[in-house]
Order: sequence, then structure tokens, then C-alpha cells
Amino acid sequence: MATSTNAKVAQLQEDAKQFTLVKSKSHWQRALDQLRRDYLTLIALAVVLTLAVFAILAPQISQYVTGYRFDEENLSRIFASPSYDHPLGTDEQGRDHLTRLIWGGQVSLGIAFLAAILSLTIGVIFGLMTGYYGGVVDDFMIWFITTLNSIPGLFLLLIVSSVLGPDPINLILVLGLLGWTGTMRLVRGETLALREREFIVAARAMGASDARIMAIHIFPNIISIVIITLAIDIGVLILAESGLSFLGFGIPAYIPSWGNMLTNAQAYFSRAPHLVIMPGLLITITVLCLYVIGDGLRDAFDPTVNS
Amino acid sequence: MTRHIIRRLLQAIPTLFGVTLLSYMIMSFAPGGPLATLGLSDPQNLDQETIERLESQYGLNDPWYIQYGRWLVGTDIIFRLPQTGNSTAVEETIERSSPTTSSARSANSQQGCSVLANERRGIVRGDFGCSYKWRRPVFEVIGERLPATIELGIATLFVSLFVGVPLGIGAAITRGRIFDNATRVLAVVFNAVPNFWMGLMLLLVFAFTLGWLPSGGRCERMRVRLPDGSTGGCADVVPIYNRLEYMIMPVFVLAVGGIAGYSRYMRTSMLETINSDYVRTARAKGLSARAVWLNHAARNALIPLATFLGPAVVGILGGAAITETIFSWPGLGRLIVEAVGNRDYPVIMASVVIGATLTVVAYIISDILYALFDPRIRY
Repeated sequence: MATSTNAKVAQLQEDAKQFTLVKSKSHWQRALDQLRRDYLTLIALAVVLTLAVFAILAPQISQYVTGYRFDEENLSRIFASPSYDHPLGTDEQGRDHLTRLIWGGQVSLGIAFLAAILSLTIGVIFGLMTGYYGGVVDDFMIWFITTLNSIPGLFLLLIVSSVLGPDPINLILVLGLLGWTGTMRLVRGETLALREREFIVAARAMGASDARIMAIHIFPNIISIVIITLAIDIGVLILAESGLSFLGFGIPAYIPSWGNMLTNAQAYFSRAPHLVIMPGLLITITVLCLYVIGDGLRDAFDPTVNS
Repeated sequence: MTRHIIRRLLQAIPTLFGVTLLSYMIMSFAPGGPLATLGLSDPQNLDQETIERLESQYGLNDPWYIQYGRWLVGTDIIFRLPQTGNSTAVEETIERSSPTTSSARSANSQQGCSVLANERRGIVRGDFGCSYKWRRPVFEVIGERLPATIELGIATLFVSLFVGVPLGIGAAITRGRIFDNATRVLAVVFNAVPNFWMGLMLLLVFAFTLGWLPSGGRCERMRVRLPDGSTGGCADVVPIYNRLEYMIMPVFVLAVGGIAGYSRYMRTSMLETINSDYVRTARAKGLSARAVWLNHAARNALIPLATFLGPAVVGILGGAAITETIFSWPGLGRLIVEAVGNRDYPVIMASVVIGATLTVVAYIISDILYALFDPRIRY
């Protein structure tokens, strides 16, 4: 009898040992594991990172590889077809198309990235505050974003950027200051749901300040949403920036961006149709990859998706 | 239901008020002010005294909230300006220094209007002011452009519904198979293509290279010319079936986003309804798969699509600015792009107000439609 009890205890201890040996995975590790098997997202990530590296190294590439400055005009070689000197030809002022595409990538990606960071910061802060405090603050913010969203987006962008004038910094401010309403709604919804949870009540009971609860208890729970939104927002903002620049209200004409390289595209149709293809193709590929990354991250962070 | 509609209409008032306040505030920060584009081709050749007199007559010296008040309710109610100098003298000064404006004005001399602040009656009484650029009542300028945009918008809505919904139903029926995956990929790709580039590529292929479609405009003969040189009167002159070829490319570019959105949404909605009890009942009764899918599942899956009308109108109006510019379509979107370029503030403000009103109304209509289609919704 005694021996069998001892054997049982030993067996249980053995089981327990095995049980503790299986290390539990954190939310982030699980997400990483999921991502590692998601080849489509990895490819998209690689494409975006490659484009980002080209964009960051644009000054070096144009100095050592292509050998042209982005504003180097050569009026004797306008609308040149692709050749050894100009792998993608030249535009209406004889500027090297490839060099301008790489610089344009720096402008388009950089502006979209910074504007996305700005709009996310505003959206998260307002979302946390309105969701957490509710009441009058919430009512006012909801009225404000309903108003903002009632103006067709591009109309508002056009007005603001025409007021501020074409300039990269202004464009970042415009896109960032007008694009946060979606993020705010999302964060507000999550905060509303989290606010009533036990761990928040416990933190409050222990005397944590509102700011501490928002920053240390609520924010970490919405970080995955923020990261997903960042990927998709950059894509949306690249589209917005290129549209504005195309119309002539975004990036000033002398700085190349993927959008304003197409401003005079209709004049290229007869002489150099290849100038029309590349900028748009690069925008499409970049935005597509960012959407795929956003989707992949959503799956990775969602615990209900089977790995 | 009536009470709900009335409540929604009343709620629209503070929203529209906010829209006008916000836009006016933003525009008031413009450096230089609109004097440079009052039709003066070269404001430098005016002496300082004239500039000051012009500024005071247009009310540009006052803070933006006073200008906003004038614009909203009219000068005769609040902040009437002191009469400085002869108003016709000012008009003449402007016309002398700007040949383009005076020719535009003489072409429409009977429709001409005054841009003086003292003669404003405010938008609450239907006076949208006078276009700085064209010297015609803004209401008329917009009235000429709006039908073109509405025509484009309605065509876009129809196309995106009649293509997007069947695609979504098809994707739901073939879930996980090749058609489903193909529509999914296409939807993502079409969402990522910038609409101006798609327009340019279509122009390059179908108008420039193949010559199948006209490269822009709204009808063949520019029989009716607007003062800015575009054609606005096509709808009066050329019947719509003769203008369809002009609509193919703009409508396609505008509808692509809607097609992608509707097809994805319809697929999700279908997959939700086919798991419901009434669909199981229909199957148990022995109905054919076709009847179950189309009569029971699809009709109910359509209900949530009613809520898409609001966002669709926002998307069409926003997209119209770019699409109409590419295809030289004489509509509201191109008008606002031109007006922003000219700093024609009365036209910009009126376009924003009209755009926002259309949006708000679309949201209210989609709310009502939702309640009409779905008897479970009670207000």
C-alpha cells in the first residue's frame, strides 16, 4: 500500500517535471513563430526592406553607382530610351530616370513613414484618453472626428497643403495631422474594453495614477494593434502622398517623389512611355507589400489563428 | 422611424457647422491672403494705397472669425464694413490690371457678381459668394460642375455594386478554391494601385496606343464652353448613350476600390449567413443549392452592404479630384483642384460644404436603407 502510494507520488513528480520542462511561450514568441512560417509576409518584408535600404543609401548610390545627381539636367539628351548610360532612360529635362526613382523612393517612403509615426502617436494618445476618460472628452472627440471625416479626405488635404505650400516637412505634418482618426477609433474601442478588466481595477485599487494605468497597463495590450496599423498606414500614406504630389500640391517639383514624377506623364505618352510605368509600379509594389505585412502581422498576433 | 430621421438630420447641423468652421480656419492661415489671386495678374504694380483699400473692401483686414461670420450669415447682419471709396472704382482697378478676368467677365457680363464683402448675404441664405477667379456667383459655377460629378458617382456606384456583389457571392460559393483566391488577390492588388497611375496606364493603352476610347472630356463636341474653357453643358446637348465611351475609363478607375471592397465584404457576409438557421432549414427542405445560395443567403447577405453608401460617397468624391483631373472631366473634383491652385476661396469653401453635405446625407440614407432592409433594426 505504502509502496504504491510512494510510486504514485514519484510518478506525479515525474509528470510535473516534464510539465515544467515545456516552457510556456509568450505572446511575442508565439507571434514570431507564426511569422517565421509565413513566407508571403517574409517576402513582402524583404521587398520593403530592400526598397528602404535603396532609399536610405540614395545619396551614395547616385554618387557611386548611377553617377548622376537627381537634378542633373542634360538638355541634349531629353526623353532618351534606356541605354548603358541611363538604364531607365531620361525624362523631359534629360535627368537620369533611375537616379530620380531612387531619390523618389527616399522622399515617398520617408514622408509616409514619418507621417505614419506622427498620426499613430496622435491617434494612440487621443484614443487612450477618450477611451479611458469617456464623458465630455469622448463626446467632443467623436464630434470632432465625425466632422473631420465628413470632408472628403483629399479635399481637406488639398486645402491644407495649398495653404502651407509644397514642402516635405509640411506634407508630413499635413498627412500626420489629418490621418489619425482611424487609429484613434481603434485604440478607443480597445481601451473601452480594457478599462473595465480586473487588472485595471486592481491597479486602480493599489493607487496607480491614470497616466500610469494608461501607459503601463493599457498601452502594452494594444501594441500589436499599433504595429499592424503602422504597416497599413504607411501604405495608405504613400498613396495619399503620391496623389497629392501628382496634382502638384505635395512635394515641390524640383524634388523627385514617386507621385510628382508622374505629374507631366501625359506629355510622355508619345515620346517615352517607359517613364510612366516605373514610378507607379514601385508605388504599387511597396503598398502591396505593406498591406501583406499588415495582414501577416494581424494573423501572427491573433491567438485564434492556428499555427 | 420618422423621429430617427429627424434626429439624424438635426445631428448633421453641428457636423456641417464644424466642417465650415474647420475649413475656414485652415484657409485663413494662408500666407499672403487671396488678394494675389483676386484676378490681379500682377499685384505689384498697384500702389500701397490701392492694396489697402482693396483689402478693406474685401474684408481681408479683419480676423478670420469675423470673416467667417460674414461668410456664414452675411454682412448686413454682422460686421458691416464702412464704405471706403467707390466700389466700381475698385472693380475697374482690378479689371485694368487683369486682362483675363475682364474678358471672362465681359463674356458673362449679365451673370457677373461682386466680390465685395459688403454685398455678401451668407451661405445660410443661399449666397455662396462670388468666385474671385471667374467673377460669377459660386452657386452657378458649382451648379455647372456638380451634375457631371453626380453622373460619374452614380455610374460608379452601379458598376461597383453590379460587379463587386456577384464576385463576392462567387467567392463565397467557391470558398478556398481558385476563383476565391483569385478575387482575394485581385482585391488586394487593386487596393494598392494608386488610382492616378491606373488612370494614366488606361489612357496610355486604350486612348493613346489603341485609340479605342477618347482621352478625356465628357462629350465629343465642345458645344458649350464654360468661362474657364472646359465643357460643362454636355448633359444638355448630347444624350447619355452617346457619352458612355467617355465614362468607361473614369468610372472604372473610380469603381475599382468599390469593387474590391464590396466583393470582400459580400464574401464575408455570405459566409456568415450560410451558417444561420434559416439557411439550414432551406437546405433541410431539400431546396436546390442555387435557390439556397441566391434566394436565402445572398438576399440577406446584401443587407449590411447598405452601410457602405456613406464611405462609398466619401471615396468617390475624394477620388473624383484625381480622376476628373486626369480625364478632363468637368466636375466638382476638378473644380476644387483648380480652385485650390487659384486660391479661389469662395469656390473652395462652397465645394467643401457641398462635398460634406453629400457625405453626411449619404450616411443618413445608408442608415435609413439599413433599417428598411432589415426589419430587426428598430429605432
